[in-house]
Amino acid sequence: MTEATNPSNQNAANAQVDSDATQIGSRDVMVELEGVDKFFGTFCALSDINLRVGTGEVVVVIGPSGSGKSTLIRCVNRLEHHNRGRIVVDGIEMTEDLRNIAQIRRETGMVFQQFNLFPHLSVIDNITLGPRQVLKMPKKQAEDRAMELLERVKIPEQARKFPGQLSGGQQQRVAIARSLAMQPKIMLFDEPTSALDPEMISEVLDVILELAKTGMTLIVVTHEMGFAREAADRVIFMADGEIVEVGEPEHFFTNPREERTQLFLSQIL
Amino acid sequence: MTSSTRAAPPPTTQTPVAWARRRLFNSWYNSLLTLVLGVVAGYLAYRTILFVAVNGRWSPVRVNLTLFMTGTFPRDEQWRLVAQIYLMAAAIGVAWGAITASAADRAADSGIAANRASAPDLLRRYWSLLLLIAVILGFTRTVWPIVFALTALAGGLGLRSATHRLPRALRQASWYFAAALGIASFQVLTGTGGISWWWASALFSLAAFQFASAKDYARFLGSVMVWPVSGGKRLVTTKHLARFKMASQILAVVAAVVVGRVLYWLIGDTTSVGWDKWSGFHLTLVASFAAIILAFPIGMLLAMGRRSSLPAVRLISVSYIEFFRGVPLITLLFTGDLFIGFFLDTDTPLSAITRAIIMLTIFTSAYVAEIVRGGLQAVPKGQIEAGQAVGLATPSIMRLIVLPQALRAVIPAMVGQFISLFKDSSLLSIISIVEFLEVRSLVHNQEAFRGFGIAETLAFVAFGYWAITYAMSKESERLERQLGVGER
Ligand SMILES: Nc1ncnc2c1ncn2[C@@H]1O[C@H](COP(=O)(O)OP(=O)(O)OP(=O)(O)O)[C@@H](O)[C@H]1O
Ligand SMILES: [Mg+2]
Repeated sequence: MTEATNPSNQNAANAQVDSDATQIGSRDVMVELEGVDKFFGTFCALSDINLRVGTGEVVVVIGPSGSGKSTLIRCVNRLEHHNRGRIVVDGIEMTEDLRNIAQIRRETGMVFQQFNLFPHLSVIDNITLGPRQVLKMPKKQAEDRAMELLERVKIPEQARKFPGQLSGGQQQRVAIARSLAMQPKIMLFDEPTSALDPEMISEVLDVILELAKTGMTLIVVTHEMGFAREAADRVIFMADGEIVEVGEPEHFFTNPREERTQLFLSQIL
Repeated sequence: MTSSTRAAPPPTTQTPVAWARRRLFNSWYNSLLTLVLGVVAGYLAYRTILFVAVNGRWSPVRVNLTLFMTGTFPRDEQWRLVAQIYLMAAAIGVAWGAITASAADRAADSGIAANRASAPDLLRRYWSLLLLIAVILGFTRTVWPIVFALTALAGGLGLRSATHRLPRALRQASWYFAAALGIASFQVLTGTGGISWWWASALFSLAAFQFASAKDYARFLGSVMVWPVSGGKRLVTTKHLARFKMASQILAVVAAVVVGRVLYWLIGDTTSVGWDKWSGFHLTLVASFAAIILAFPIGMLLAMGRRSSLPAVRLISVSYIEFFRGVPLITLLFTGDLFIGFFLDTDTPLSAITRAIIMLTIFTSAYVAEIVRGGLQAVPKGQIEAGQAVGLATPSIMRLIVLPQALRAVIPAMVGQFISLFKDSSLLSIISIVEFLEVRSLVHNQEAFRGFGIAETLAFVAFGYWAITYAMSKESERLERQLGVGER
């Protein structure tokens, strides 16, 4: 709250948004975005994004389709490159340097809406590929760790199958295990349950909830408001490439301040 | 995992009569169609058999069998070909054993029962090749080719099952060994005319070193030697292993080098038979498979170059691909001389066959590049992003994620291209290389066979081409199935 009490040279409304956007209590900063712009050609997908995510914080990003949620988290691990502003991940500033990018990618894991498992590799090989290739972990050790992770996402018996032989929920849990195998400090989730049948959604959300409890830093794009309520430390509402409103879930769902937020929530709740 | 209590339907068994009724005579018009086609097929079969067994005058083929197979290869050097066949059979046997063994390992790792090819399976896959060998042997006039072929076959199969049974730690050694044998099989023919002896020697040493370094080596050796006595019990203990290992590594390398040198001394370059003396079926096989093996990696690099983010690389790849796809192969073959001379300043002109292989490779690699590019484009972008997200570098993403998927998708197209290359090698005759088809004109110019029909020699040559291409397309089908193309 230190910044909120000192809105010295900005007008009141702006200061309110900024302080919320950057408020992370007493935590260390894990991810920091400062004045980030992203253009696709002339189309502005992100404009002046300011956001700080603390270590161990769970941030849920919501907003209408096309509002730039995916673009935002894809900028964090450089699947998209931003055009302006500063992105710092765990103290490493993003530059054009390939080594730098590799370092940041090592800190972050990402789970995609479409799972993106490698169809030509078995489940266990999907998980061990990164550790063996990037971390140079010996095969045996990588496989032992992979099995532990599969236990954690509750599908150890699927280790030798191929992705095509699993249900959607199982595939997404493998994808989570694959990301965790790199021992990231931050996990990015881009609508992890949107491609799943309703009965499989909870099995994936449960895994993410478990993760949240272990104190890992999570940024989750989702339309699952129940999950947001339960797991989020903060909820971010985006529209048209901007962060419109930031707040704790309680405040956010019961008493949203902005009109656009109200409209969006009334549509989906 | 709940499993259904309902039993799977029993496999349906049908009497031949029931099958025929269901498949051939299930309505009046289908019955009519069956009858008509049956008559046509029967007539064709009758005429074919009549031609093959009764009316055909096969003496041009019978008398000139050696000419068809090896063309103008010097007669008193023919033992080299026999040696090549033995070495080749050994190389294929070892490689094959290594392939089936690693497949079995993978299956065991995954807890799936390995599906080993049964004898009928192999027959279905390779019957055209076996038929070809049978036909060729049928034309021979002495017993020796039959003896050579059978012993080579037996040796290859024996090595295959021996390699298959080797302990896992020796798998890599088997690969080196197979490669060394493959190189040696050509070395026997060319002396230093081709690849240096040192290559084969080095590979042999590597194989031997790997073999000797393997933890199971001593155990394996021990068990092989005392197997009959001990009734299969392990007699060599861990205590002996360390001492064994060092000594056997040194011994292995020394032995490999010595053997290599002795072989070189025995059958070295003094009396080698260079490329330019090769012809006939032998040349057709060698030239087209050499071009296939060379065109594949070059085409792959070109395809990746075409998608590269570096403009210079892209420009070179695109120009290469578009130019060579736009020019007829015949033109390339005719101008090969000029063309190669234009880029390479060699004092001694390359032999016609070397030139031909280079031009075939260049031509085919442009097509392979486009085929591979199609495969690369079929890999979804999400795959690359997932690779980036786990932190893989771009070359690793290419090698481990994109290429395996891309190549799987293009196996049929690729094999199709190779089949067409194999058949196009008959064009080499226009630059006065006596390949398989061209042998015919030599035969028909012979005094003894003036006035003989050309049907028999044509049929024989066509059958030779067909047998090989049929086996290739069967292999492609199997690869497709095995790698599960189109299953996801
Ligand atoms: N590669 C691209 N090229 C051009 N425009 C793009 C590209 N990727 C995204 N966009 C545009 O940027 C905007 C933001 O896209 P983004 O995918 O971030 O939205 P989103 O909030 O994740 O939407 P959804 O909920 O549908 O996933 C959209 O208008 C989209 O059309
Ligand atoms: Mg999105």
